[in-house]
Amino acid sequence: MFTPSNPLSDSGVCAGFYSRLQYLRWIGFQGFVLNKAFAVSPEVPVGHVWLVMALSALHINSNTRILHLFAVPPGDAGGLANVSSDVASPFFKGANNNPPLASGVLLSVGGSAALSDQQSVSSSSVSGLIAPFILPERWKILCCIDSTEAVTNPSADGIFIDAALIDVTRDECIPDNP
Amino acid sequence: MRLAGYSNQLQYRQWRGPSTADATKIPFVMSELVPQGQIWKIMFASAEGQLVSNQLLRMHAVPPPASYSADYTLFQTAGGISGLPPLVSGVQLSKGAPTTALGVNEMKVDSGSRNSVNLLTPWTVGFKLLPNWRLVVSQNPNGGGGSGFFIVLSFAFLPFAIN
Repeated sequence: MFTPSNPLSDSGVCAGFYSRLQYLRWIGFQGFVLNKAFAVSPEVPVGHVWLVMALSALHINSNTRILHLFAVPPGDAGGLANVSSDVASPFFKGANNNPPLASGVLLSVGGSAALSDQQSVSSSSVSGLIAPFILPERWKILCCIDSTEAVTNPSADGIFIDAALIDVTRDECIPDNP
Repeated sequence: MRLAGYSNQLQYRQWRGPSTADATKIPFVMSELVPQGQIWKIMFASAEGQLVSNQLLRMHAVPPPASYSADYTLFQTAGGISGLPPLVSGVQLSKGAPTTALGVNEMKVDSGSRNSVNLLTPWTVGFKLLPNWRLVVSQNPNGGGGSGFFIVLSFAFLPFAIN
């Protein structure tokens, strides 16, 4: 009797591992008017690693805005959190929550304002990664708006980050390329 | 397969290239050399900067002995302009494009902005840098220079010891 091979098992990973995939949504402050919207994930718990398989983001305002997603390392990530009012975070070195950032490295496709890939309007999403990646403990994921864009005054803006990831502990074995 | 905990060895570095003195210099930025006995697996890399106008950025992995040049000697000089391609040696890891007019928008930094470009592709994520290699980010050849322009490279890698 023919038994189909399991490509996941063949690669040394049981399919059950991937059944641990979980969906998470992180919502930033939704009332930005005078400052640019941003949203940030909680930090990866100490002793854990996130295998991020999919990542996207959107902003709610009806004006088109370019979104960028960054991985933020420990240190500066510790002082970066979602805010509860329309304020400028000191994590951004530009005015009104504009880049450059205190630290971070781009996860999403970047580039010119002419690139449509990263443009979000009226809650349409953009992709936040070029390949699945592993995020270590105490790192965070940040989404912010391109520095060429204006604030949305007088209408409110806010950002959602959506992720599909597998949370593993440091003593588990994981595939080299998730 | 490997222990997940090893991913917590991810190292974050940021390098800022020299500020250009005048229009005879095109900005660039280099990483440090990979130390002897190590291999760096590149996980994330991006760049931004203060640039003279809309500019395309690209990243190369540069092997020794060219990597021992930490200045404009890694590039060509023509017509009194330093920092031009081709590099003495190096293989490109990012997407590229010849000019801003023909440019790949995802590699373009708009004038006056401090937005980043992603320097990896799905095929170059995980590229291994060997000992004494380095990363070099440079600007499109006809982009021009000026006073006070610079590029910042942000980079995260997993170091592996060579047994």
